[in-house]
Amino acid sequence: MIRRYCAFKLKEHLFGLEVSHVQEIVRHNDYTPVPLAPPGIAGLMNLRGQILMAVDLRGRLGMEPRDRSEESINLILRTGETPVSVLVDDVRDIVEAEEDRRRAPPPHLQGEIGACAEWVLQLEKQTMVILDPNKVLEV
Amino acid sequence: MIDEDLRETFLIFIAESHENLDKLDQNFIALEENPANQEMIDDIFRTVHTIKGMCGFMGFGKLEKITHTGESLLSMMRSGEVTPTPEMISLLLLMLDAVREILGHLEKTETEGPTIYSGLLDLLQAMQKPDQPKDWRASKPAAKAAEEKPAEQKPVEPAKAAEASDTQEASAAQAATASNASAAAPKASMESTLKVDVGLLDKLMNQMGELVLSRNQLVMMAAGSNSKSMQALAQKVNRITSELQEGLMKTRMQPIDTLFGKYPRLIRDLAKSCGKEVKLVLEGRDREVDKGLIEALKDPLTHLLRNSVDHGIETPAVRREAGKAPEGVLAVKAYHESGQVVVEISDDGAGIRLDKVKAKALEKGLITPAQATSMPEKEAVNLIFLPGFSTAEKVTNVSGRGVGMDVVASNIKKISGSIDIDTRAGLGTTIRVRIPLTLAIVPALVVGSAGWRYALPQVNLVELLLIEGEKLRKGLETVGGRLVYRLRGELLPLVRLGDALGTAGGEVAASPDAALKVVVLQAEAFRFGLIVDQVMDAQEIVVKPVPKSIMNLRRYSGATILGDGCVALILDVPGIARTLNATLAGDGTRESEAAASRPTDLPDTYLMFRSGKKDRLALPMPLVARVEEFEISRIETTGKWEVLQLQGEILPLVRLDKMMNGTASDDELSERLPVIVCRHRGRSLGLVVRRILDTAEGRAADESAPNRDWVRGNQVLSGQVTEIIDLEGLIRHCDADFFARAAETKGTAA
Repeated sequence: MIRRYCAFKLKEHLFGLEVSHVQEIVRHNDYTPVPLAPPGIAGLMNLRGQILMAVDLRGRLGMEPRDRSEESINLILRTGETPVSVLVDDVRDIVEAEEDRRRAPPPHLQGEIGACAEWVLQLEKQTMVILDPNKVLEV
Repeated sequence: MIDEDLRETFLIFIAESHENLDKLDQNFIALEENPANQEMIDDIFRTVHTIKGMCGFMGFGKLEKITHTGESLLSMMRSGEVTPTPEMISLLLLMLDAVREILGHLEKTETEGPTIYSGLLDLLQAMQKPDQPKDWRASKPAAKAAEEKPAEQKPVEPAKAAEASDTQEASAAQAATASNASAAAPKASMESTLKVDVGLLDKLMNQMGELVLSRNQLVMMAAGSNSKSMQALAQKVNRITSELQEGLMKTRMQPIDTLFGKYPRLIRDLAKSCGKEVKLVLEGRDREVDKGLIEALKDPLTHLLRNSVDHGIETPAVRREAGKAPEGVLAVKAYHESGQVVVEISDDGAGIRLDKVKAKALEKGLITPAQATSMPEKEAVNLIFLPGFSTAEKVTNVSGRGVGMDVVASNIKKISGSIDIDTRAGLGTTIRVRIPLTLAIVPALVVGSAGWRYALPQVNLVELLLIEGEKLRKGLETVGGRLVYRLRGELLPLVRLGDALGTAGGEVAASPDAALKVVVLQAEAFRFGLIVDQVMDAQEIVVKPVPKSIMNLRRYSGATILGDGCVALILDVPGIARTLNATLAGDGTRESEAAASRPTDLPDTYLMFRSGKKDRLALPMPLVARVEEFEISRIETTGKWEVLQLQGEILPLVRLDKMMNGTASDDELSERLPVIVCRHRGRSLGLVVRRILDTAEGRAADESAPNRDWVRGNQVLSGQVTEIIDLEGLIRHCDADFFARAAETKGTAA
């Protein structure tokens, strides 16, 4: 069975999320910071009148936190009731692959990335780490 | 099975019967308290008669039989042949339960269910023996006549009859608010109503929210345009939107009586099964709350009520021993506060034993011994919300382990609410459940701080201040490291919004002379001023919920989208006030307790002095023996204390000049310093200060909360904020054993 992933970059790393989890992709949308919020929460943003939580995925995965001045792309993820926006550096094409090509994450994937990783998929030039959205959104 | 063409009628029958049964619950309890209420009996009779009629029409034999038997008994009550007694009422309530049971079966299986109710029917019929030869509702002479035949009557009747005719007029004034509700209820059902799908209402509410946002944008744009007709139109749209929004919000609101209405019956049954006497007082029954919240509150509130009756209120015997009235009072109140709905449940029972709570938590390994000893009372009570906790000595059928408090707490958290408990051993417990109004459109003031905008709900807003120039120099004080402003004689604590939110920049950058923009806010009993960078406009905002992780910060109650599309956080004023209080010494309650213990109305005289360059301290004159001056070189040291030989006495010194300012002041040996010689509990002590100022009069009752251990409080003396020293506290701070060593010191004096 073919699986389709939305591929995106955080710094030089390539990640993926199953397309079924992604509601839409929104380019440059401002967000309002929430003082004293836990790290990983970049702030709140307005999507067609709905207020969504914006997650700084880099910070969430233990990478260098996002600065307001950086350009971001919002991946709007479907979750429970309210969608959540996940901020990433850049979005690539959709990656299609047979289900049996994915592998369990290798043990050297440590820390938060290791905790949120569900699978890895070997592509031509690099490895894509496929994330589990539920774990990612456990802020 | 139900016929197809009767299906619609069937569904209406079920729905209406449930409503009628709820109403009857309340009516029966009201009747129990006031058996002479003829109107009530008529009303009950009519309702039961209606149900019976429908049952016959639909062909529900069992239901018909039960309601018919009940109706006969009620008919006798109506004509005065029997008097309503508690036993009859209990039986009739059981009849209602039986009807509910059958209705339940009908809803599920369209059959009346297998249960045979012959026992109930027999009892109902047995009650129908006429027990009085005369109509007890006649005027007093009849009651007297009844008294003449004591043998044939239960001795209770004459007393009741006399009471009944006396109190009939006063029945409206009785605490039984149930009777008020049943009077109100018929009114509602008489108005024409429409059943609407809740999903449709939700959709309309969302669109309403969008409309409000667009309206805000339109108004903003119109304000900036030159076209008069544009502005007029915007105004019109503004007004229509407001009215539309108000009306729509009302559609989803239900009076909280939907829940409260069930409580008289619930409490009555609970009290009886626990062997307790409980008087239920309901307040705020007409407070309207969104339908969704009512659903969510149902279980938690019921659980809390069960707890109060089962574990809170004591048995009449125990209460009498404690000098309380045998009947316990359980008060359930609903009110709006700061944009939240508060449901308060308070009982005058035994309270929660915090020592037991701590012990149990310790036993279950939920806290460490160190935590147990250092935990303040206000926190200890929250231990009962931890999962796996229980202090009920017995497991009862009524409320299980008396716990499930963790379940209650989590259910309330799910609707973004909060719960807190106030308890006093022997006096009772008050539990407050607060739930935010999620989709609410509230008037707010938008302010700016550090480049971002925040919304403050108008309901918390008291006034706006611009403190500059003269007022800035004179009115602003620092008391114990905290900024306060003297506003019309009262001390207003100030806090910068940036500090309250932990953000840097913003108001701090301003020079000391720059004007301060202060928003005076009030939350519960606490008033404070928020310093902001800008005060923007007042506008109506749509409150949108924020995720739990942000609600947990206790500073934000939601978020909104402003006219330009940006998200602004809505500040939770009580939450911010609470975090402030944790650092400011004292909150409302402690203050009032302390005030109660101080003598109130006599003005006291104080000696005012300075211990450093800028502070102002004072000591109550009665403690001052005399004031002397001396050279620092004369200070000697014995053991822990610095002392001074003065007039043949060895005087232990407290170097206030050093203490208040942390670092030692310049000790020039030739310098002369004043020392205030005090006498306290038979011992003399010298307070070394920098400068004596003056004496002044003040009132202990006007003191506000202290900021330090050895300060009793702050007062305004001679127009300036002054710290009143607590001498005993000061001494204890320096040396806990001071008074104990009295004998020794005297012995070694030269």
